Amino acid sequence: MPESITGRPGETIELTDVTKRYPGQAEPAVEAVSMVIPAGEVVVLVGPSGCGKTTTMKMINRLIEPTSGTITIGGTDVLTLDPDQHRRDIGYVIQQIGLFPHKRIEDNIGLLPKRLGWSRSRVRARVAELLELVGLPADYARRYPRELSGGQQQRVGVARALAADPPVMLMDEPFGATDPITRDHLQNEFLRLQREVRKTIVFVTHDFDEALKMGDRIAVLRPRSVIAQYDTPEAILAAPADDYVASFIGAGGQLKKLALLRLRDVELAPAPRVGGLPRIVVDATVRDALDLMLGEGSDVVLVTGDFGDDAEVLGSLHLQTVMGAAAGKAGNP
Amino acid sequence: MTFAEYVRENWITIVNDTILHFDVTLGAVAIAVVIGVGLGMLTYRHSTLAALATTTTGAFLTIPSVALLGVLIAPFGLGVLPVLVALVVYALLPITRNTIVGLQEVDPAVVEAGRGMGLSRTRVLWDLRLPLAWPVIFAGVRVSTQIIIGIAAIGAWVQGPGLGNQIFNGLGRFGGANSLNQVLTGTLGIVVLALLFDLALAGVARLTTSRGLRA
Ligand SMILES: Nc1ncnc2c1ncn2[C@@H]1O[C@H](COP(=O)(O)OP(=O)(O)OP(=O)(O)O)[C@@H](O)[C@H]1O
Ligand SMILES: [Mg+2]
Repeated sequence: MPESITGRPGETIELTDVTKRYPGQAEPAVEAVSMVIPAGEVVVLVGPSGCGKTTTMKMINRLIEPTSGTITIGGTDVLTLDPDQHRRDIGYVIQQIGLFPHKRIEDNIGLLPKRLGWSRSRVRARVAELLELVGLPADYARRYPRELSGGQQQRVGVARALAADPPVMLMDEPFGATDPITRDHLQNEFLRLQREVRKTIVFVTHDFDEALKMGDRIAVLRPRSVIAQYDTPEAILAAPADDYVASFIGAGGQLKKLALLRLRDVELAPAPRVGGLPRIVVDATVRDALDLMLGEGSDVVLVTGDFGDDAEVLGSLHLQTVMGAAAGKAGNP
Repeated sequence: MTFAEYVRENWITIVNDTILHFDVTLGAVAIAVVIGVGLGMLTYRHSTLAALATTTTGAFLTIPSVALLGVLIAPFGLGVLPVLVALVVYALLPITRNTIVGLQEVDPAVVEAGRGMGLSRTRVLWDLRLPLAWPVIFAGVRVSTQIIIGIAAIGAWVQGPGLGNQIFNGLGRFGGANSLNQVLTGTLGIVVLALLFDLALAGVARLTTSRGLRA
C-alpha cells in the first residue's frame, strides 16, 4: 500500500457525560453518554430508530453542538477547535450519500484535498489511489454521480470521506441503501480496507448482524443513547447484559457466535487419512464449516490453506469441536 | 407603400431600433440578475425575509408601466435611464423568486456532506448551492427577459430607445402614411427579438449548467 493511505492512524475518541437537548423538546435526545472509542477500532452504535445514534455521532464532528459534556479526540477537547478546521480531520459518510451532482467523481473526491492546498498532481494521484481502493475503475473519475449505480455512489462516498486521510471516520448507515448482496460485498471490502488504513471509526446501523460483522466493539443503545452494553461482539453474544440486549441478538445467537469465529482461530485436529472428505478454506468461519457438515452429512471436514483440490491440508475440524466452540471452549485467540 | 416596401426603405432605422431594444433589455436583465440573485442569496435562509423579498418584487410587477416611467422622469429625466430602471424593477420577481426557491431546494444531504467535510457556509453557498440552483435561477432569467422585452416598448413614451419608437410614431399619427406599417414593424420586431433572445438564452443555459445536472 502506498504510504499516503495509511498515513494518519486513528486517534482515540472520548465522550464524557455528553447530553443533547433539542430546543423545545421535553426529553433529551442523548443523555449523559460516556464512552471511549479506542484508536484504530471500529465501534458500532446500534439501537432502534430514533434512539439518538445520529445525534451522538454528529456531536463528534460538531454538526450538532452538545448541550453539555465533553468530547475529546486524541486528548484535544473538540469544542476548543474551529468547527470547519475540526471537520476536515474527520471523514464523514452520510446515509443519503450526498455526492455533489454537478461535480465529476474526481472533483467530489478531490474537493477537500484541493481546498487544503494540495497540488493538482497530488490530488489526481490521490483520486486514482482511492478509486482503486474502493474497487472502482479508474475511468470513473471523469463520470458524474448520476452515471453511477447506488452501490457505486456509496463507494465514492467512502472514498471522498477518506480523501484527506482523516484519522477519524464517522459512518452513518453507509451501506443502508443497498440490496443484501451488494451490502455484503461492500461490508467485506470495507473490512479489507480498514485492515489497511486502521482509522478510528464510528459506525451507525440498526442492523445487529451488520454490527456483529463490522464492529471491533458494539455499543447497544437504548432510547436517549443510553448504553445498554458496550463490548466486543463475542462478549455480547456470550453474555448479553439484559433482555433488551438479548432481544437485539434475536434468534440464532449460537450460530451468530460461530459466524464470528474464523477457522484459523480454532484448534484443528490432525487430518485423518481417509479420502473424500469435504474441504473448506481456512479463511471461512466455523459457521460455514458447520453448514458444510450439515450439507454433506459428514461430521468432519478438512481445512485447507487455499481453494482447490491440491491445496495444502492444514488439519481437520470435527462436529465435537464446533459444539465446543459454541460453548466458548474451542477458541484459540 | 406595402409593409415589405416600408421595411426595405427604412431598414437602417429598424435595425438600429432593434439593436437598441436588445441592448436596453440585456442591460436591464444583467443588472436584475446581480440584484435578484444577490437578494435571493441574502434572504433564502430566513423564511420571513425571503417572503418579504418575493412579495416586494412581486408588488413591483403590478405597477402600471406608464405610471412607473412617469414617476421615474423626476429623478432620471427622459431617455434611456428611466427605461433601464423600470425594466430592472420589472425583471426582479422571477429572478429573485427562482433564486430563493432554487437555493432552498438543494438536497439537504449535499449540504450536510459539504458542511461535514469542513466547508464554511459561504463556500457551501458558492460551490454547492449556487451551481445546483443555477438551472432554476436561469429559468427565472428567461421569464424576466420575456416580460421586459415587451415592456421596453413603452420606454419610447419617455423618449427611450428601441422598437417602441416605431409603435409610438405609428400610433401618434394613426391613419397617416405608413402608420400601420410602423406599428406592425415595431410589434413583429419585438416578437422576433424575443424569440431569438430566448433561443440564445437557452444556449447559454446549456453552456453554464454542469453536465452532471442535465437529465
Ligand atoms: N433537529 C432536531 N430537532 C428536534 N429533535 C430532533 C432533531 N433531530 C433529531 N431529533 C430527535 O432526537 C431523537 C434522536 O434522533 P436521531 O436522529 O439521533 O436518531 P437515530 O438513532 O439516528 O434514528 P434512526 O435510526 O432512525 O436514524 C429522535 O427522537 C428525534 O426525533
Ligand atoms: Mg440516524
